[in-house]
Amino acid sequence: MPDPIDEHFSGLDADLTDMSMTPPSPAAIRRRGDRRRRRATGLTVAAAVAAIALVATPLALVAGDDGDAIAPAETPTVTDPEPAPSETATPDEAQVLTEIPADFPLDQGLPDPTELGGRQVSQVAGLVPCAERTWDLTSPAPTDLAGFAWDTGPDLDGGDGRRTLLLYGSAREAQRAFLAVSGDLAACPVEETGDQFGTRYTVESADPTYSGDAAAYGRVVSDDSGVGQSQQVETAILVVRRGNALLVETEDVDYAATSPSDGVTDIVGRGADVVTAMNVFLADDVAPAAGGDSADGEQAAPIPDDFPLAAGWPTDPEPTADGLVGPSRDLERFVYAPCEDYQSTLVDQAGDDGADRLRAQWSDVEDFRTRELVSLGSVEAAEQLVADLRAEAEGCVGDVDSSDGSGLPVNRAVTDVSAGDTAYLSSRLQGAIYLDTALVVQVGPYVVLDTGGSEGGSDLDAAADGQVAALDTVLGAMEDLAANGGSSGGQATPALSRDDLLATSDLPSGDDTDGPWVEATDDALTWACRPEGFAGLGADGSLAARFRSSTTAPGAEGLVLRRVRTAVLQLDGADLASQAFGLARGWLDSCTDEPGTSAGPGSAGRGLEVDAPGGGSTYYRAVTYAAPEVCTDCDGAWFDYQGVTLLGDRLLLTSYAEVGGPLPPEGQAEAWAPLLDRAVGLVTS
Amino acid sequence: MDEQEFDAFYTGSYRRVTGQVYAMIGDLDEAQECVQEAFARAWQHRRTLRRTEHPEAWVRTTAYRLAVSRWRKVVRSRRDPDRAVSARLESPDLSPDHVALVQALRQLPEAQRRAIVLHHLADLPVADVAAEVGAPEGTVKARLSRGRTALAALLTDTLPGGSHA
Repeated sequence: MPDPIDEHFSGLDADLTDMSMTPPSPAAIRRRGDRRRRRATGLTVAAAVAAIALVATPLALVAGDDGDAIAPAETPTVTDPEPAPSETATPDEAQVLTEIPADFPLDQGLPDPTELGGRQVSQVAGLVPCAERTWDLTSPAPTDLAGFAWDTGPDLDGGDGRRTLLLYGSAREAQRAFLAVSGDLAACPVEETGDQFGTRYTVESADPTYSGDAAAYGRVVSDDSGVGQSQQVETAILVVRRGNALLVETEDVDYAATSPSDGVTDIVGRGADVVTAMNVFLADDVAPAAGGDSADGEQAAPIPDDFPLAAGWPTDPEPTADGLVGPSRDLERFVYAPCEDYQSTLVDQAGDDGADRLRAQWSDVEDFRTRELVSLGSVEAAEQLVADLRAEAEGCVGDVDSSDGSGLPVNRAVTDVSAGDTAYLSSRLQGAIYLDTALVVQVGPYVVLDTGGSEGGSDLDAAADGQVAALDTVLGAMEDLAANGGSSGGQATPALSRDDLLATSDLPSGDDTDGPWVEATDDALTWACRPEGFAGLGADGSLAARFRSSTTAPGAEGLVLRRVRTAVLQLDGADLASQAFGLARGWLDSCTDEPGTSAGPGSAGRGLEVDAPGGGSTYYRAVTYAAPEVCTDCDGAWFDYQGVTLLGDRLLLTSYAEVGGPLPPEGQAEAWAPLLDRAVGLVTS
Repeated sequence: MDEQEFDAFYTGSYRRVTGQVYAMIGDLDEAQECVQEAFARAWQHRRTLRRTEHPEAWVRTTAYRLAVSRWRKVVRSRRDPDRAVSARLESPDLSPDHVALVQALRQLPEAQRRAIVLHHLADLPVADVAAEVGAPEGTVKARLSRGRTALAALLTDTLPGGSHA
């Protein structure tokens, strides 16, 4: 028997297809697409090689895993680059969004809110990450917020959830809110509920995979009575900051057919699209949090605020033009588009969200220029970035673009340039006329991208020479930075220096079988209690050093039995440092011993807080964990002291681990305090 | 995808996709505008679009998202919903039964309506519907089931021979 619904639909397809429509010609649609592309890749009619856009959706983020399929265009994919005209706002202010755009896809990826009892919400929910804490997202007060709540109902897999997007007056305020939430979550104590089943609540963090400030957690309910084996995620939580926006999503999972990681994985995956869309708020951004792996003794010094990035540019724009904007870190990241279909920012390309950056732009009639300077973790990283950028540009040299509306083919070229340590120039040419040029120069751990476009020029060599010459002062300043660590005298806060860190001579002496301490730059910079590294602490800059010592005992020569790791993080103010301190403290509090061996005063589940010089404070904890690299069938274990010290607007992270077992290594506890004092003294001296 | 391929793709798909989007949103003008914009974006992304298996599904999804986005913008800004999805009665050149069907569709929740249209009008199997709307197959089945039940009741009430005919 035919389905009656199918009968209703019978013939509808043909009926709809035959409706009166007046579709534009294919050529008209193509022209419309071409206009969109030009608008997306060029700020002015004279399209720059690197386009400025408030939003660039990296294809990799919306593509399928295999990279072959692309997701349908999101709305919006690219915000028109022209800033909203305002008689009073500066160009920077005009680009900072204080209201959530009406078409922001906040419900992207959510269970359908219409069908499943969903509703829009207009206030922050009273979310309680753990019994003793509540979130305070209203201080500072958000400028706008929007959210959805949903309930998937009892007959479908899923649970109850809420997604809230909050905008703050500045990226700093949003970062403060992010640190507060993250700190609260990380600091949720392992707590006994006191009921007869001995249920414990723990908060486990997970890598949310998003770059920048992001954290994901699963609040796990576990039965420690030994009777039941059940364990399930009660609440999965995702917190992401982009610019001055903060996304907070939670979902209570009622069904047990999941593992703790599933709930977190689900919420992270579901948030991917909306997190990408949050790039519209990056017009106001602070330097992203320092990643653990990027903190390195070789890292370049932060770029001074007074770096002469606009040197060599004109100074008198036409009255109707914007002229010079910047140099500033608050300008949105530069979107590099050597092949138009491919867009990325230098920081994305560097794969280092901890990279410091500075940007300036010049807009005059038929003269648009921009420069962006980034500092990377090492000279090698800078060289790799230039190599990657050049490869990307060379990859489309053979492509001929004939769709710019003029009917003339546009060719691309990449040529060598003599400047800095390595350099190249990429250009787009239409016949003998060049349209725009992009100059990339690396000096030490710094890379500058300089673009210019005076559409209609015919002497590319002369243009390239002029571009290099105009960059002369910038290149000189980059060389100074690379040579002296960036001390320009213009910063309110002294730059971090290698002298702020422990050296081998500061480390505890060992016994007769302990070998010398050596720097271990290939070691990861993590705590045992924070294997993901120190992303999320909101540092503007960082320096780190790692050391190890191998035993000389016969039969075990070469085994690493002692490790010291230390890092100094520079934050933007004491308030942020204090909140980051709370977050790091929470990481230590939520850390569990493994395999549970007692190791000194901090191992009973709580750390110790002690005063540090200058009114600072240190919180530390010792944990133990297996040392399979030493032995798998013995009592050997790492006894690891990990501490965080708040020193004004800086954080000091220190760890001292040594293999012992079953008793703690002799003398380690006694050596920890002097080591910590020495590390603190170096930062405060 | 070169110009010839795109032109053939556009010419061959435009009316079909527009009809489907119209069935989803109930406003022919809005459907045409969104489908045209979706095709423009398809041309904009033609290098990567050619690697996708179902370009028509890409255009349809993009057009639908555009329509929903515009509708939300209207709702949130509290302007008169003159161009809103589901806000404007249309009487295109359809048979009375099909006009009733489109009107009944408009009374369904958004997700149910989309699933019904993709499955029954675009003839997509449940798995493809699930892929296009980004929901598990089970959820799509539930939407289809609920949508068909609701649609049957609505059509009984509105079609000639129904209780209110």
